[in-house]
Amino acid sequence: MRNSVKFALIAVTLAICTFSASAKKAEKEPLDPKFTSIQNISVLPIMDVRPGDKAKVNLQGLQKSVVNALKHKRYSASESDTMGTNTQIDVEDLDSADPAVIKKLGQTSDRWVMIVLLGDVHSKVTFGSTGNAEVSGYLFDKQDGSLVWKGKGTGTAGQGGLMGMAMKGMMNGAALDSAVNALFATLPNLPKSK
Amino acid sequence: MRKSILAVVLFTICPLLLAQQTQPIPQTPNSSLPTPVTTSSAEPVKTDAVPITSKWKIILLEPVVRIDDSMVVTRSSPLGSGFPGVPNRKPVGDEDQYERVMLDAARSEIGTKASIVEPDKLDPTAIEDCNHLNYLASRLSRGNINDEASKLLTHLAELDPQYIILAQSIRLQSGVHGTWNPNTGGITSSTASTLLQIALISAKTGAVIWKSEQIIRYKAAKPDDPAMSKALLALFQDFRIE
Repeated sequence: MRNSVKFALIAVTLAICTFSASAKKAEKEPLDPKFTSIQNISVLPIMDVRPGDKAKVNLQGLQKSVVNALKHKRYSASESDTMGTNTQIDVEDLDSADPAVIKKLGQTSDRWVMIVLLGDVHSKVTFGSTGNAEVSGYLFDKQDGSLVWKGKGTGTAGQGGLMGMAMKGMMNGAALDSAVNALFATLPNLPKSK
Repeated sequence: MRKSILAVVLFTICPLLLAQQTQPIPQTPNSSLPTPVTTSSAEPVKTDAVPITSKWKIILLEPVVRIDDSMVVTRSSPLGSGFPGVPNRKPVGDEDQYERVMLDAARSEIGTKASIVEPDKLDPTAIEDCNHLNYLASRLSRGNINDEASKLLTHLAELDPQYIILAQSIRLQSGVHGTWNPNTGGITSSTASTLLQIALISAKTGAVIWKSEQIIRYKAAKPDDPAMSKALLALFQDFRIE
């Protein structure tokens, strides 16, 4: 009798788990067409908007890591070497998605452009060392001058102890990598091509 | 016998050494040590007030206060990650308080070097221009002047070519607290920060005359925080106007 009760309890639990898992799968919304229609994202040179003293950062390397992160999400992406005809771009133009500004971004042949802003990178020594970095990104569709996606990511890195103190030089880079990962956390993955 | 001789020698040498160490250091006339300032009641008392010689009229735009708290934070470490940071949920303060603190600092730091025009004493047309410029104050505080701002500045200069605008902004980021993982030794610092930016722009030329910025890291400073007062002082440290 006891065994049969146990068996019934296990069966009911399994049934509930299966049902809830399938319900969650069914609830998963299909990807927005504005993402699936993207053919190639042109990643513009990184805009350095850091305040105060600026630590040395390889901006080209950062641009490459942005391209790689997009490829990891299955988007076709390439590096661009020009910001476009508008040289005075401000964070507010990007936040407000001003079509007049957006249409001047990148090369004329580009349709989807991504602009990444480097907000801050710094490291410090405590009992160990830590690094913080902040990046924000905007993806625009130049055809209609609209904002497709925007995100902001902060990355932190650090190691305690004497070994950590010796690692200070690595912290900026580690924090930047971490920030790029955080930035793209909200960008949906494209489905696998069949 | 030897011990007693040693003791006698030590007793004579030690007082001599001590006496040498406690001798006063001779003061040279050009000593860098601060000398106390004495004031005589017969002499006129000097105050901080300096006659304003600058011909410029500075209009203080409303400071822009931006409070950011939503963002994705990830952490990495060469040897292991820290524990997830706890978001800093403490209220940083009222926007009005920040505005007041920034305006007060600007008035006290600039007021002695140039004349500040209070908004209520402006021409109605100038007030209208300033109201429009207030919307652009955030970008102007970074020294970024767009076409719209240029037009407004030109219009303001037509009213009085000596007008200068002072745009200020503050960005507060509450972020997450620092972490420590005792298992891996991974540590992280707080991601909070406070950024103060300020720019002085000539209405006549539409050019940035002076700009400054200060960042307080690891802290979203409250208006009455000593770090905020220190940063505001540093912000105006090299302020000059000719």
